This record gives sequence, structure tokens and C-alpha cells, in this order.
Amino acid sequence: MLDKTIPVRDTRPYSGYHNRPAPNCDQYITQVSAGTPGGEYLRKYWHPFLLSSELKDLPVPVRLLGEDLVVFRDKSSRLGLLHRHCVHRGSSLEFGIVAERGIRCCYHGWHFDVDGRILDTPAEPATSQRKNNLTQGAYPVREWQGLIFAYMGPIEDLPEFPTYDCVDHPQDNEVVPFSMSMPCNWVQIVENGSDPMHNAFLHAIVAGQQFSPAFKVLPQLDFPETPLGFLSMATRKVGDYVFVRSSDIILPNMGQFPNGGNKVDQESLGIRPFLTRWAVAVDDTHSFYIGFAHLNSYNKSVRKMTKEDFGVDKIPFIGQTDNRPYHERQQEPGDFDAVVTQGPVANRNAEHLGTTDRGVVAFRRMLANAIKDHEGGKTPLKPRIVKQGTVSTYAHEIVLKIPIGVDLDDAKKLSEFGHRAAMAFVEFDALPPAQREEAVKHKVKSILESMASSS
Amino acid sequence: MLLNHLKSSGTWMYANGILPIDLQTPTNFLHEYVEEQARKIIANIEELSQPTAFRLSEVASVQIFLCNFQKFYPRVNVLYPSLFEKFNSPSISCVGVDGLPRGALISMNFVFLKNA
Repeated sequence: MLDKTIPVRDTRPYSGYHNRPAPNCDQYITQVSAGTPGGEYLRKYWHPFLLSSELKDLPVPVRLLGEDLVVFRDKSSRLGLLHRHCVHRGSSLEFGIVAERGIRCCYHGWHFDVDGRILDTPAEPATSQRKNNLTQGAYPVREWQGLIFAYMGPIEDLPEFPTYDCVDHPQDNEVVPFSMSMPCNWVQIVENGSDPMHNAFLHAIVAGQQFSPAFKVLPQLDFPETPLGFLSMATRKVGDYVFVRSSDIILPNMGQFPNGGNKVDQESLGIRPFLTRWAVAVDDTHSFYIGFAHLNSYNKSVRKMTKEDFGVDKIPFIGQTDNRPYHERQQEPGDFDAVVTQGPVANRNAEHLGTTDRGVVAFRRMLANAIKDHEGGKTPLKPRIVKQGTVSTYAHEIVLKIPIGVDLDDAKKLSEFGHRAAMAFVEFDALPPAQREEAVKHKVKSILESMASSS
Repeated sequence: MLLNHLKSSGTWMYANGILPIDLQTPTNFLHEYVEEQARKIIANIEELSQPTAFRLSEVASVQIFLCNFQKFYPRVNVLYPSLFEKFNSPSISCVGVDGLPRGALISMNFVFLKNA
């Protein structure tokens, strides 16, 4: 579990011998295979695993949560996700022949429907009951916004498929799918999103100007809970403006992140996810993040990009792959370099967390508690569907001019403003997005003005 | 030094080992994604050939060298129409290689032929 005794460190210089890392023995939150606490918990959710554009007329082998599977679209356009190895003699169904209905194993022609039922065992005698007393393992699949999702838990616990409010707002929003491979455990990807301080250092101060210069200002951090998880928040005073940037961390593995390009030179406020993505486990030591970018007039105004910039292993930011020359990665490292080099499974027993790691701790605690609750028989918390099958989300940005008389150089006041402003997005989450933004704008301005009168 | 990559003789000009580097500041970082690197090479050959008598429309042959062929070939292949829009249907080949100078993902050779 996460509680651990802090070992006494030898603080003398050159104490490498005495301060070797503790062994990595705690994998409660990182294991994903069936039968492990974490793996069973993850299996209670829908996970995206492939871009629709990657699935053409042939089956595609995939590995997900430590299981080898094959996905295909039969000739009736129905999606199937089956255990990869044929239940008959184990041949891979990636070499199966897609049929009008389901798929037929190449080896002896056993024919499976998309739900795993055996339709035909042609080499068996007509009296054979094989097809009635066996099935090929299969999982439900859904397609949404250019992504293919799987549910790999018990069919009797099949959850409602959640859709999110972020895709239709603003009116000119266009979602563009992408996926990026990361050879490490999935928890590290979510932790990176739960750590807004790395935006200042990795993306602005230390490694190069990857985000806008406004991110060089060290922020006040906050991690308020939402009905879905929590917000990973950074509040900055940038010149005459206050800048709040809040990312959604949604259990177990979803996140939404505003653009890193805001120059903080004019007032604006909005529900502002730029990337909506899930950190999905291939197995314990390989993952990918997959989701969609929101290309709308706002996001395109702060960062030049087109839909062609997104795809498989392709998003328009530096440092998201290992495709760069090694020395360039060393000179200007990015998320890939920071996250993957923590190890295939980061050794959390060897860490020494600081005060800015509160978001990482919050996520680990939430995840560990959720896994523990699930082990104890509780139904995992699901996204709260508020209207017509849609879940309200909370990622946002606020840039407001600081009124005369408000002293946001005071760290406590800056933090307080950020927290109260972010909570307004939670307070009005039942409203449609455009009305919600108006209501939040009104409330946030009044919060700022009230701080003037109380200063 | 890059101009050494160009060699002309009569109606022919060879441009070999064209990389996706910044011609003005070759020490600048390469683009991270193979699509951007491919576009950069085309921009570079256009710029390099500018002082010569040859134009992109006179390219008769393009050889593409690609790292991680299995991964990148489909991505580069779909770029062909936009990549070679200023060309006049050159003969193109694409081969996978282990590595390229500067850690580039892609490099190209061009053969120009007057009145091709």
C-alpha cells in the first residue's frame, strides 16, 4: 500500500553507498493483469484502445490490460474484440478471415460471431456439440468520436457508456483523434498530468520554451475534488493578469488538459480542454495515451496546428516520442523523456516527494482507495451522467485583469482566488456549456471584486 | 558544405543526402515527426536548387531513405501527393535504413534532368 516508513537518509556528501534506492516492491496501484486488484478495478471501465482510422478491412492484433486480443470490423460493419488465440487450437485470429458475420479462423475454419459465440465448426461432424458448449472470449466494443472503446470486465457489470460534454463546445469544435505509445506503466502518465509544477520546469524554465513564457511564473497549486476526480490546478499572477489553468483528472485514467500556449495578454474564460485523453495499459510496463484534440478557434489561435498534425504517435508538441536524436532529447527533453525514464514501473519506494507533489499524492491515494473499495466489493465510482447520457467535465482556463486594490502578490490570496474560481465550474456543472461559462464568468468576477473590497 | 551535396553535369544534376536540417542554422533541432522532416527536406531541396539552373519540376528520380520503415513508411506514403506537388511525376523509391546522419528519420536523394 502507499503508507511507508520514511527511511533515514545519510546526508553526508558522497553518500551514494549509503543512499541506494529502496527496492521497488509496491505494485498495488500499477498492476493491470486480470486477477490483480488494480487489473480487476480497471476492468470495470470502458477504455479506448484504437483509432477508428486504424481499423480497416483486416483484423488488428492488440494487447490490452495484459491480454492478447484481436479487433476487427466484420463485413456487416459490426465491431468484434476477441481473445486473440482461437479457442480450438490457438491460432491467432489476426490471420482470421473476416466474414459477413464475425470472423473465421484460418486454421480449421471455426467461425465466431462478434460476441464470441461459435457459429460453425465445419470440420466437426454435424452432430458435434462443440459450437454449443464453447465460446471464444469476447468483449463489448463501442465507437465514439473516432476512437474504439472496450469493456473488459464481467458482462453482468457492464456500465453505461459515458459521453462527455467537451466534444460539442464551442460550436466550431472539431475533435481529432490521436494515440501515443509510452513504454512505461500507465500510472506514470496520469501522474504527469496530476503534476502542474512540471509545466513550469519541464515545459518552460529548464528544458526549453515548450509552453508560453507565462508558464515560467511559478504557480500556486491546488487539487480540489470534483464529482469525477479532481482538478490539477495552477494559479499564476502574470503581469497585470491572474491566470488559472485547471486540468481534469478523472478516475481511473482519463484526463483533460488546456492548451499550453496561452500568452496571458488578454482576458478570457472558458471550458478549455485542448486534449482529452485516457492513459491505457497495454500491460504493466507498456501503455499509450489515446484520445482527441479539440481544434476550435480558441485553441488554434494560441497554437498553430491542423488536424493533420494528430494521429498515431503524432501530436504537435516536442518531446512526446523517442523519435528524436538522443542528444537533442538530452538538450531539450519532453514529457516522454521525463516520464518513461522513471522506469518501466516507477519505483515509488525510492522517491522523496515534496510539497509540490500533492497532486501526485492525491491521485495515488484516490486510486489506491478506489482499488481497495473495489476489492471490498464496492461498485467503482462511475462518471456522473448529468444530462442525456452526457458527463460534465471541468478543465478550464481563466485570464482576468486584476482590479486595482486586489493584492494577488500574496500567495495565500492568489491560491484562494484560484480555488474559488475553479469551484464555480463545479457549482454550475448542470448548465449547458455556453450558459455555464456565462454563469462562471459572472461569479468569478464577483469573487475578484469582493477580494478588492476585503483587501 | 551542404552545397557539396549538389553535383551537376550538362543536363543532369545530382543532389544526395539531403537532410531535414535547418539550412541557415544546421545545429538547430530536427523536427520530431517524420512528416515535418519530409516537408523540411522538400523545402531544403527547393532552396538548395534555387541558385542552380534546375527546378523541382525537373526532378526525374527521388530516392527516400527511411528509419523504422515499418512504422514510418505508411505515414510518409500518404504524404506523397502533397510532398511532391511541385514535381513532375518523378520516379520514387523508398527504402528502410538502420540510421541516418544527425539522427534524422528520413533523408532523400534527387536526380534532376533538364527537360525530364
